[in-house]
Amino acid sequence: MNFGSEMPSKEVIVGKLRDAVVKVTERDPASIDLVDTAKLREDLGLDSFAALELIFELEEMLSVRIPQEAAATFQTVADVVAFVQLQLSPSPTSGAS
Amino acid sequence: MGKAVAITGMGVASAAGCDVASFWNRVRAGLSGCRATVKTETNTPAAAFEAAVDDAELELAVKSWGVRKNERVVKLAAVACHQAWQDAGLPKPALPTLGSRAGIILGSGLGGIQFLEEQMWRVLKSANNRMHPHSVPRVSSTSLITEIAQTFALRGPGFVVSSACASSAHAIGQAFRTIQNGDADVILAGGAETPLSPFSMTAFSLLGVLAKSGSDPAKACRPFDETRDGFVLGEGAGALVLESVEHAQERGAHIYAYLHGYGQSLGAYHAVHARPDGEDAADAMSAALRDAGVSPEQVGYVNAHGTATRENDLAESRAMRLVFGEGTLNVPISSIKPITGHTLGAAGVLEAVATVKALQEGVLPPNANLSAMDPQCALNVVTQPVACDLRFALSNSFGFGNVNVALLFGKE
Repeated sequence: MNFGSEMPSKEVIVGKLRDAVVKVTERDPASIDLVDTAKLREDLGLDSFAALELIFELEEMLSVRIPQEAAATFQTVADVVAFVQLQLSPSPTSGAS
Repeated sequence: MGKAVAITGMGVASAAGCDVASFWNRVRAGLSGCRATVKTETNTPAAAFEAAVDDAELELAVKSWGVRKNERVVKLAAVACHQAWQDAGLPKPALPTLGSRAGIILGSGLGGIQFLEEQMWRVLKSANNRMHPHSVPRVSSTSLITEIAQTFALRGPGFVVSSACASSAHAIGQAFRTIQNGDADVILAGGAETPLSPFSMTAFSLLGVLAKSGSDPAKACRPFDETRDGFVLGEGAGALVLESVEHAQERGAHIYAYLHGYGQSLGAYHAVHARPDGEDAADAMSAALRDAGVSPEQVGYVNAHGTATRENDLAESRAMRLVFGEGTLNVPISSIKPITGHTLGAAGVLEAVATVKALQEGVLPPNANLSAMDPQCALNVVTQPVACDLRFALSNSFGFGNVNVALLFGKE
């Protein structure tokens, strides 16, 4: 996905996360509640095997790279969104001169 | 002589229907499930026809059975297994006492090839060999049984057989032996295949075995007809619950039929050509009869492998003459592949289901699309549904590489 110079909003990232959860679990999108505090394992029912697939799908959907070491630390929806936002934010040095 | 084995449950997911009743209605009426392939922006199919499981019907079945997300081949297998298990009146998940004595043996010629094909495209298009993180379990044929074993808590024997178009017949045969030997009481046996992807369809087309002539998909596959020119590639799955008669009687299960004999052979002839003299196919049929202690005269019906390739039907006809001799024309025979398509590794179990239904209902399913019998075949091909009080019936499955299986079913 090409976001151009615009960083996607949190809503867009959460929307993609929802698409990824639907793809991995084939659950009804309406049944997936992606509040910040929702836990990947307990609330979304993703075991480590499914979580790996979720990250893979999210990488494809957002054209972002999420290293396995980082993915292993994700506990909640907020953790995923924060990491993706960081990856997609413009580099602090870009446009400085 | 080991334990007697009964069929106490059946399930199917096929172009002819996603439940046994719909499947049998179509098979018995000779209504083809084949359709024309569709060209898309990214794919020009190598074949004119296909026998595909209806997507909406499959998804409905997947949801209603609670099958978890998985590859299409696993979904098909799971749907068939859920149906068969429920049909047999078995608890899900199995209680530990049953689970430790219950297993699953499925067959597939190509296994997870559709997934492999998708991942290969992905790898070829990426700069860093990017592929799905679960590629190992998904491409493996074993994925056909792991999902079901988990859901049903099956802890007994389990594996996947791959022997081309004899795969699910082999799976049924091996499940039969396992129960006969006392190594399990109940086994889900069958198979699944999903060859309707660009790679598989093109590969089969290049072998020249796919039906080419005509514009009507329903009439494309014409086993034993003088004008036959191949089969329609199909996808599907089927499952039987095989159970020791002792176990089935103890729990008061309904018994559809009995599996009495399993014969197998190799032709040691060619990678794709059928052995022209049919000796290898005859060996498998004779072995099944010997195994069952049934004479050729007692066989009331043969469900043919009947692919509608020039070679297969001729070799199968010769095999029939080797087994039944002068009595060949007394034995009704038909192929249901014009209805189901040729589902390769799943063909054996779909045809086993049709054979069991024929025994149970006393109706022989017709061989559709036979208008001009090939005089070289000279068989008693059933062209209309025929009421018949059957006692014993054979089901033939022959695979590329001259891998042959015959199963002998009985009403009692």
